Amino acid sequence: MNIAVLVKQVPEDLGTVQVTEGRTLDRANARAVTDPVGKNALEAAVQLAEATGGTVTVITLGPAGAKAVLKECVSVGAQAGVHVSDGGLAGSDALTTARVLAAAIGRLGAIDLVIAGARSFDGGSAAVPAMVAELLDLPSVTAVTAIDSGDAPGALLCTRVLEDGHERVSLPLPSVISVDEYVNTPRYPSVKSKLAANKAVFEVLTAADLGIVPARHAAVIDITVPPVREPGVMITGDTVQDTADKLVAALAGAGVL
Amino acid sequence: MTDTLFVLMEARDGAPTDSALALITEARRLCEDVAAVLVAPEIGTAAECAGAAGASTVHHVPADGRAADLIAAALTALVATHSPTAVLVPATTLGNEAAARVTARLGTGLLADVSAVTLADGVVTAVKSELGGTRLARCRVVDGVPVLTVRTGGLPPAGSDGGPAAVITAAAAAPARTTVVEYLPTGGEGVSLEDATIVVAGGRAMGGSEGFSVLHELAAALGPTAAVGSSRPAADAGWVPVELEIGISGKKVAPDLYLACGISGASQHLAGMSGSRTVVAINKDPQAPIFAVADFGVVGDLFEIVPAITAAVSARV
Repeated sequence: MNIAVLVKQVPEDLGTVQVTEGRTLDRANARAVTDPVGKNALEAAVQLAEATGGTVTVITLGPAGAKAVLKECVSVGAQAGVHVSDGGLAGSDALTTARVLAAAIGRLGAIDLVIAGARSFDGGSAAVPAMVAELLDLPSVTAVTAIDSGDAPGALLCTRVLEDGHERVSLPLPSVISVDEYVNTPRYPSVKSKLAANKAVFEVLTAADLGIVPARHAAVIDITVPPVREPGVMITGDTVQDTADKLVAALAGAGVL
Repeated sequence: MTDTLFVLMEARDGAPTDSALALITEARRLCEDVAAVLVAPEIGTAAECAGAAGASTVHHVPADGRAADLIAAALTALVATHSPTAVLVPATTLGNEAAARVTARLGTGLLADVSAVTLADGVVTAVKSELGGTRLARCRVVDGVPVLTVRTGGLPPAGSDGGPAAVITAAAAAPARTTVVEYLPTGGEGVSLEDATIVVAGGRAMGGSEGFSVLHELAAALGPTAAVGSSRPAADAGWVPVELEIGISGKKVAPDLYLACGISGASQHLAGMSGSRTVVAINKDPQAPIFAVADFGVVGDLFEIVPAITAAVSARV
């Protein structure tokens, strides 16, 4: 199975991201790490490739430093990486990002499966994988917690999380899935594999290489810090039951019980 | 042209979901004319439910409503014909997937996971949390019909005083490419986390799945609109089903009352519960960050305090 994995670099601490006067997010002071759920996506791909034969190619969109994502993925089982790096794509919205990624996937030749994280740590819109599926005219299943390559060739059986439970969905290949953090436990690199990954060379592409003209579909009017909740009242009593009674009385007094 | 808001109405076994109906009522508050879109093999009770909640029309597309690509195809065709002011979709697993596909098809803008929507002079503006809830962004779509996924957890319950909606049946959509083989509802009866008005959540201090029984007993005492949730470590450990996780990688809830039991209050968890109106923290560690955001705090052993609260709540009835 030949698999493309979409992984991005995210700030390790979201609180360190600054908001600029131009209402964009400045990540320069934020330490960048590989998106945690992207590691789950890669692990899922490597496991499927190990079980069925095939290759894993990682695609990332981001500034020069985002190459670290590709190195990390190669150190834990990916064979190749593609880095889309273009200043004109900085701050791209979900649809432009999806167009770029779909175009990059289209250059890889015959791909059986695209895997991405269900919801990135920083953006969290949960939109890009399904957009990529739509742009490539492929079926998709999002928020996958378990993947079974099953007995039927050319199909996967995926378990996904819903609001009211789970469902198991049969998905023909080629297709796109997004996985959440529960799907697996990512493996760690060895010292040897890290050193080998340092020597890896990755294809670097610009928006023009992919035939993409960056476009902005949504505009931010303003960005604010949400009001900080003030610490409230500590409830104490003579006994545990007295404390509980006082709490319940306070909640009733506040109109919530 | 009159303003119209489209609302995707998800349904399960022929009955519209509570979150979809709440979103219809919210849309009706913003706009006189609300059209619900139902992608399902049968119309079921949709016309009555959607009408009661505030929709004037239901567009029924006979197709597999569990396939996001079919929902997207249906919505895109309806948007092309009717040019609504915006398309509102509940921010559920399937809703998120369908909305993303619609946006890609239309080449328009997506405002994802929004917590508030306004409509003025035909322009939709939305508030969404960014960077795990550490920022709030007000945004709008630049060009084309805006597509929004809306958190329904904080919405008031659906209205019930409207008459039945008019039904317009659209052409049947193509067969789905994906097939739902099995549906496994979350064990236990009662309300879903998103629709609960009271959430009793447990963290690492629960110690195991058995530990959660004290939370279930409290939720039962608090009534049918109370639900049990968890933080990431408890769900990671398999003590509760993963769909009960509240946080940046799990559910976003906005109940009237949130009881955090043995939850330290990591920012990832706070991002999922920040819409809660009143927060109670129960923790052994007086330095736990959860106390900084709690309206009421109790320091102590939750396995002693929670049963005492259950007793106090039961005594009130």
